[in-house]
Amino acid sequence: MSFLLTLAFKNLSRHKKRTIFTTIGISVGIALLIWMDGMLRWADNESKRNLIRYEFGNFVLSKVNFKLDRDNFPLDKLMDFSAVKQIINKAEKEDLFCSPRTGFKVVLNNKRGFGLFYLVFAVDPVRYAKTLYVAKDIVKGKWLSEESMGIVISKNAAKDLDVKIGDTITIETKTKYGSFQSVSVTVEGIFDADDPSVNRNQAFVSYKFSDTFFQTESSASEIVFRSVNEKDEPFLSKMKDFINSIEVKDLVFSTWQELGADFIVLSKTKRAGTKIMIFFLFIITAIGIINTMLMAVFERIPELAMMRALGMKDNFIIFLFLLEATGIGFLGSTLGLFMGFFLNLWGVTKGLDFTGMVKDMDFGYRTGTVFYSEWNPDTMLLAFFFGIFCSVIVSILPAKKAVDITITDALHYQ
Amino acid sequence: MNIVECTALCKDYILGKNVVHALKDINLFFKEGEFSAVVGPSGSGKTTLLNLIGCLDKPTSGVIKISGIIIKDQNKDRLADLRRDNIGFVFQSFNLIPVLTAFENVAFVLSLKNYSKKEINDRVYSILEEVGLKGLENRKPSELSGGQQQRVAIARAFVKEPKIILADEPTANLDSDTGREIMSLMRELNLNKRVTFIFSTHDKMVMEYAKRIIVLKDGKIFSDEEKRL
Repeated sequence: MSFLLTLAFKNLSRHKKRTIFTTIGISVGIALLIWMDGMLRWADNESKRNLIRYEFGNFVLSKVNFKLDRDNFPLDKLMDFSAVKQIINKAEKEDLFCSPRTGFKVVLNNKRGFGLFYLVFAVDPVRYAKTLYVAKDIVKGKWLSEESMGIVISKNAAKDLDVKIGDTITIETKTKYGSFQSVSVTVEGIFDADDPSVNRNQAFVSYKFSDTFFQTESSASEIVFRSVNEKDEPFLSKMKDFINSIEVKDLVFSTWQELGADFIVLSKTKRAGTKIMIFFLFIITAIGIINTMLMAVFERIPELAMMRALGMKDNFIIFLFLLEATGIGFLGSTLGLFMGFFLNLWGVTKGLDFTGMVKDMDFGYRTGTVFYSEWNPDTMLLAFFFGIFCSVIVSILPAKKAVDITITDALHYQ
Repeated sequence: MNIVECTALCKDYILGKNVVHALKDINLFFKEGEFSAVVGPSGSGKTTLLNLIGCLDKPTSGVIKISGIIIKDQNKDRLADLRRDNIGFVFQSFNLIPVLTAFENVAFVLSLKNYSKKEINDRVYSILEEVGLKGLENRKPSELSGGQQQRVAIARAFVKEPKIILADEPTANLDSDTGREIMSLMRELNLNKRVTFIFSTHDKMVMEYAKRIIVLKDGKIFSDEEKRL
């Protein structure tokens, strides 16, 4: 065994350049896998965090028939004020952040008449600021107060409508009772949320504003709940018990996973994408190793024949090649692990800025345009062993090739 | 006692649509300690005969016995064991492992037999001294002359103390002076260790050293004579 190890090691140094190039091929594949996985993992987790922090909290309470038609935000399926108040009081005793909101499908127009379709939420400004993060992301002006009669819009909307703080825009929508309403409103704040979906679709007014102009009467289309630690349980169970105990009927909880189903589907698809990446990594590794091992086999056929003639069994010859492949795989995987570690370190601390490239592009993730990375020790370990495993697996065929040829032919092979 | 017995040995090769009869009805016996040369022109069947005796190939028909064991009945692994325990080879082109030192090239065959490290050291240093390579143990084949490389190959063949050594044109790649040195060395080892030695050659100088000369022609034994000393 020790002889085989010595020989395998020395054989690796026989063609240093070839070994180095194969090693680099494997290491680049491993490093890219680690880095890409770190980035995708960050994007996945950041998207989940942003779905909770900006869009849905951990769960959303609404009327059953509202949930069925949520895409249209119908104003005739709202929870009335007394029910909303009762639920909020209970939730706040349970240490849950919660806030009612009422959504309106609107067209926002600037003074030149250019319009954008948006979803305006009428919110309780204080509670909404505690529950979701958008109030933290105000970049110009200020967040709403309970008495505000202005609007908070996103940086995207401000740019598209060409408005700044203090400018007036017009909201066109239907009131709770179905009459058309067109209201001029002053831009009070501009936000730049980490969730691009919020930047693209949402604007905010106070309940005072909506009660005055849209006849909402402080009723809510939904109540958003976020737990302190952003975990769904056990608060969801507690709130379910509570809802069952009160007399408000026809209410239903929707989790952020249900409401963000489009992202969950995308996330699963991206995971499949990672598997495709692993497959390509396997192909790159396999081609490099097969090429190296086949060259090693063909140039050493007479030498191997001599070893077989002297009594070395075929299994040992195969084992020798597998040891060499393990050596190359180990070198490549170790180097790849280091490269992947440093790429990830850069990803975690600096990130990759796609701002110039994808400013207005929706590529599914609820993240900003600077792509960071996340530490992934499990993938690092997996990639390390995967590199070695691939090297060994793809070397079996070339190694068997070495003993397929008869000794007498092999001795005179040129 | 016969160490090698070949009875009614035939070997055919199929080349395309043609069948080449490399050996035809060969009956040969080699005793322990013999120093024999198989000679003949190219294509006469010398190498084929050595390959069959060396258990590197199986005959088309006929029987070969090595130390009483019929090789036709053995599988690949048992043939490998048979070669490992009984047969040493010296090749025309030395066939040393280029990445290993002279010491390691010789030690390789002992590692196949699971000798202890101490035993390997003792035996390898001793045989290398015997073949005149003391002090060159750590040189790689590329740092040795052709004659020195062939000495390493001889040491490798002898170190495991086989019953038979087969040498296929051992001097073909050497100049005549070095060839003589190598033949003298092999003869000396043959006398000291009583190993049966069979080599193929068409070098007249090599034939001078042989005690028995078997001449092959067109796959048949043309003559088989022992020299009187």
